[in-house]
Amino acid sequence: MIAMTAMVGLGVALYASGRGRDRARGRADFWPLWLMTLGALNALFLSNDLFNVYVAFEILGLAAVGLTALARSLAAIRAAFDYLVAGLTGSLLLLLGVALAYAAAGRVDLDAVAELAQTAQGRVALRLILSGLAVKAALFPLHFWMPAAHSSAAPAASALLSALVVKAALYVALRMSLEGGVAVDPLRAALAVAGSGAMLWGAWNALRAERLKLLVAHSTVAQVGLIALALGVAGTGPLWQAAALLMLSHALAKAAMFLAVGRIAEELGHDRISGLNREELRPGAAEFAFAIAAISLVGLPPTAGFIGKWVLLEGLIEDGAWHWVGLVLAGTALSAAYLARVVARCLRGGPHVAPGARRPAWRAGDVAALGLATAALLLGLASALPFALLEVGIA
Amino acid sequence: MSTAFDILVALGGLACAGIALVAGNRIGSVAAFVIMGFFVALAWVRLGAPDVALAEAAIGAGLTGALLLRSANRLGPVREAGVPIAVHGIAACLSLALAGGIVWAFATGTAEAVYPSLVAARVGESGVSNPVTAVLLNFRAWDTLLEVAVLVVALLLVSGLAPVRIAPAPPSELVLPFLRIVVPVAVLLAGHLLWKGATAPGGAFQAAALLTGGGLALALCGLLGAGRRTGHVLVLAGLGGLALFLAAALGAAILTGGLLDYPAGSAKVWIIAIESALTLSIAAMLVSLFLGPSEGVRDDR
Repeated sequence: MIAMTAMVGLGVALYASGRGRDRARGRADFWPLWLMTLGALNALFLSNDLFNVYVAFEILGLAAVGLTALARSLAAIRAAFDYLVAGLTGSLLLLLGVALAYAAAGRVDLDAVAELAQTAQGRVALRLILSGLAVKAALFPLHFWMPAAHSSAAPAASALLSALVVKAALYVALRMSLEGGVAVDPLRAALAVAGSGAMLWGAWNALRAERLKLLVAHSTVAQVGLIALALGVAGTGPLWQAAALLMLSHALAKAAMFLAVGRIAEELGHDRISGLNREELRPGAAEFAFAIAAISLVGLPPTAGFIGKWVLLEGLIEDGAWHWVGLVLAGTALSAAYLARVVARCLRGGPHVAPGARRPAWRAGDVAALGLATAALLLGLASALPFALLEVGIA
Repeated sequence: MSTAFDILVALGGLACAGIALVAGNRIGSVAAFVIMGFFVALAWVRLGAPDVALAEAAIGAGLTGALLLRSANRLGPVREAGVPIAVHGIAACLSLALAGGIVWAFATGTAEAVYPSLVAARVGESGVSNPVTAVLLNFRAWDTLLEVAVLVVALLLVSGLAPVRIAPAPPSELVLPFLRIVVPVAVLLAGHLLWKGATAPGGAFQAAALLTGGGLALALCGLLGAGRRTGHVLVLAGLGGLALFLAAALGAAILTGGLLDYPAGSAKVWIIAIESALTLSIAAMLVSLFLGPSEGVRDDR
């Protein structure tokens, strides 16, 4: 598990350096909130105690709300307020669950989860904790706050929120699932069903989205669904590694995607999908980064997303769980469809571009987006490394 | 007799909660909420948790009430939002189901808590004899550190986003003599609570809430200085508490090899030092949360 933390920490560091090179447009308020977010994430990943986890979530939630509100438009403030209310509801459920866990098991460290699953009270506590986590991770059908929050924040903030903050809740769910043993199977089944719902619903909305950022935000709903499904079907078996790898690859790819979208919107002056193929502008590095990130999200070789999905599907086929295989494949096809809407419009050239079209200039944001996207690609090529680390984590 | 009192407290709390929900105007709701806070604090006293009672009365009822009143004042009267009755019904059913489930689970819970006996066995090593303080600042000091970080984030949010700072009214003739008594008493009581926290109920959070009360009384009468300097000093003091706590954590780590693992024998000194710093810094943070950023700070951006 420590290795998993280290891997995510690496993602965080990569992101941080990416952001560091990003244009200095962020206001002075951005940096302290950003540091607090990273600190809370590290505290969370290293924690072995449910109450620690709760407090870390409080820091994370407040800082994330701040990051959303930093854009200061009316939509962003409204989305941030919705996010605050949703986050507090999640925290309240989590806190109730932790208190109940204390009443049921007499202690609150994560090792107690297996013990909790034995008693009826403990199961109620676990259910409460899990529903709190589901609100925080924006798992279908509790995702209502998320697309608005992620699409109205500033690009760097959305990248941080979408890539890392929702992962925190998924990570805790993973930890609990691993500690819980066989007794929490009903909860895992619920996770898998909610995950499949999220995958289909998020993809459907992404297909219909008119704005680029909204599409990417709905795609996060779908991807969170995929990861939750992986968690749900994995149990304590080796499949959880697939879930962990999917988390990592989504973190990298989604951060790259949001940064790329920010750059594209900056060049075009808007982020409507229908207006992407403008004649007087050649495709730039940001579009390239978006395409690579899209490949990783869909799960085409040689990206990390592919390896994660491959391991997941292989395990499912071995178990003969064909309905899950079908769902995963359907989700993949849908994500390919909605991402193709964007990528197809970026792949313009030849006669579609006016002769005097200008090329967008290189900016630090392009470098950051491209770097993260390439990292997602390389993680796939060198996927032996995370798997070796995850193996260490088990031992 | 005591049973009758308990029932009265419970009914009073529920009634105030009901009034807060149905009251037509914001000020009325907030007033009912504050009174409910006092009933809850009384309930904590009856449950044998005076630490929680103090915190609830000072922070839950007092400071939250003040913050809510401030916001209610800015928001103006309630406009009928026209929430359909079905939504009310669903919300009521959900919360009743949740409450019922929790009551059932707690009523039937049988497990022996692991921690109290551990704490009781080792409270002597912690340097203080009040088990609550021992847990908050020694055994689970990491959680407290994170809690302070939560407050710092709130402060950052307010200084980044908060709207206009409130304009203090000029003090009337009766207010000044009142302040001359209340503010020193608040400071004295805060110090008392802080010092007693080692052996009896009390501690940094409660003391800070009292100090905040005094500070707010000063600020609302325009005696705290609305300028840029005060704002900076308050924010710096707010951040200083977390910084000092972190420094103490790292220092203890260097000295003993464990984060927040105080050197044997001198634990009390460490705890008192950290608590004093926390009291000042929490009070500064709460005051600046209430006041909002000063004009000067906002102009910097």
